[in-house]
Amino acid sequence: MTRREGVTVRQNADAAGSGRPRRPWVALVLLGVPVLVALLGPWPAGDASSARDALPSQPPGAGHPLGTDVLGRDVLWLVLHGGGSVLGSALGALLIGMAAGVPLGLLAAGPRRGLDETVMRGLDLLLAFPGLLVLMTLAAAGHRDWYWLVTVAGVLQIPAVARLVRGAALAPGTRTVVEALRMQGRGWAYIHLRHLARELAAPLATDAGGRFTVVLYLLASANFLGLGLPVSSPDWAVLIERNSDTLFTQPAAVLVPAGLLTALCVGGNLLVDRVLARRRRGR
Amino acid sequence: MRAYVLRRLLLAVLQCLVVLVAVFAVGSLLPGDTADVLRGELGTPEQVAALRTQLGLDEPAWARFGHWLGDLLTGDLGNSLTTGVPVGDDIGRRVGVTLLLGVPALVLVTVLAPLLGTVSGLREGSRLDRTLNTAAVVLHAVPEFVLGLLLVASVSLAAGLLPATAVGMDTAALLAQPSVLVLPVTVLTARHLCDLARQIRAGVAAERHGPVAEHLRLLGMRERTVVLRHVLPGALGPAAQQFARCVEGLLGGAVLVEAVFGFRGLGSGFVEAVQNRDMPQVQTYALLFAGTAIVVNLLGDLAAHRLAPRRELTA
Repeated sequence: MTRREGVTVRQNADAAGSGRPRRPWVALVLLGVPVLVALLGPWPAGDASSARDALPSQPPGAGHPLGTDVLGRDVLWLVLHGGGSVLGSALGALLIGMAAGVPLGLLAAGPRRGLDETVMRGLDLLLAFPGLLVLMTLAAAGHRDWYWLVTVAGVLQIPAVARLVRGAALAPGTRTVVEALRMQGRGWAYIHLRHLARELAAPLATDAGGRFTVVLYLLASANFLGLGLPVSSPDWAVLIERNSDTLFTQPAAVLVPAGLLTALCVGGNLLVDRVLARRRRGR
Repeated sequence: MRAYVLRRLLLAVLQCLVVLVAVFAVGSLLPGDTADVLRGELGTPEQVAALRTQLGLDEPAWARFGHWLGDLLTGDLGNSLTTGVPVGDDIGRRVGVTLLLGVPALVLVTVLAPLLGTVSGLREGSRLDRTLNTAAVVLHAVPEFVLGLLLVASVSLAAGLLPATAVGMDTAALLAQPSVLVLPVTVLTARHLCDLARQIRAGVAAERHGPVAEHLRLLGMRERTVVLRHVLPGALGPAAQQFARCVEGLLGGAVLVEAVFGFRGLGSGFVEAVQNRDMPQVQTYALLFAGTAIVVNLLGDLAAHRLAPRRELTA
């Protein structure tokens, strides 16, 4: 399945006037290509970078299908190795945000009003910090390792996740059911872990999709500014930054990682948008 | 109304306090303090210790916080560690450049987003609406630095149409050659325009079929009046909050756009300060950016509450 086929499917469906195409091919392909490159890339590329001694910023040619970067490394090899950190760090930050945000949201939705106020107002304070600003200030203070970046990007997602969970758990429909379950003598664990988990799964999954692209965006921006990963890293955002000066003479070194990163963001957003639109219509 | 305003103001004050403490802590409580950075690797331990006494770094943390806060309130932002120039002077030079980028972007977003959102929302489900919506989702998802580089590659380098960088230009030079501003302002505008237009579209589409609008139509009110007097305010309420986020986002966007296009504005000043670990500068930039975010979000929430009072506090 190539990218072009995906576009044709979408156009045909639109031209036929049948509304939205039934399957989100474009979004799936846009999302699938970078994910596959990130997951499977290191395997065909092999461990050792084949060309340590090549000339820097060479256009595509023999031995280097995509040319070389400013340090004389093979762009294809770098691109195949650079997706792991992009996907992994975004997933890690998302997990941190959810792991802290979900329990806090449930706590706030609990029966104690004072606890609710404390948790939610406390989290509101966190909203005063724009993401990139926090990462930059931390980098200035010497915390520029990738795990700092991932942790902080995750922590910044906690207020939004907690608010969503609290809202969903407080929904009136849930309330009666929870009361009924409590009257039946079900324990705290049964109610919270089994019943609420089922209620929360759908909104949380959709939110996680949107949040994933938000985190991805934030971390890529930070890496582009040189705040996180070392300059020698094959991470796509780092590659774009390192090679942006040779944009005209060796465009492949910028445009290939840029295309993959963009496809990941656009594909993810398109997919979430479709899911949201369907849920809104289904209601 | 008054209770909400008071509660929201209190939150903003608390946020300011948290930011002040956090910014102070980042700059002052870390192992490598200002004295270490100032002396570099050349200073002997005795020199560093003497400098530490001279700078008052051996006082307890709360006392230093008090001094720092006092200096801040009297407008003394400290001197840059790398250039020795007062931090305020440097920021004063840079603020014009960032305003030249931010103000046109803000005006474009303010004018175009309600327009596109309303047109799209009133024709919900039409071909125009679907095209605009897909374009907005796609454009919103492209990272700002990638969009900037793609525009430079296509418009400036391949087509030779607009200048690619503004390296070495100050405010006066930029005003003399405004074509330099076109691409960066486009990049800054794109993301937030998409965000806001989609929000307004969703609001218009929902309010148009809401009970209030239906009732007014039954009473014989003209469609134009229904839309302008009732549908739009209802849709703009939530959008006011989004608009506040957008101003905040423009600051973050300015950091990336200025880096891509080589502007010497506040964003690139912040990046340079971070790279030099110039703490007085970093602290000032952080306070400036976070302070702007707090004030803008406060105004956005108050405006949203005024336009659509039933909404909960969503700071």
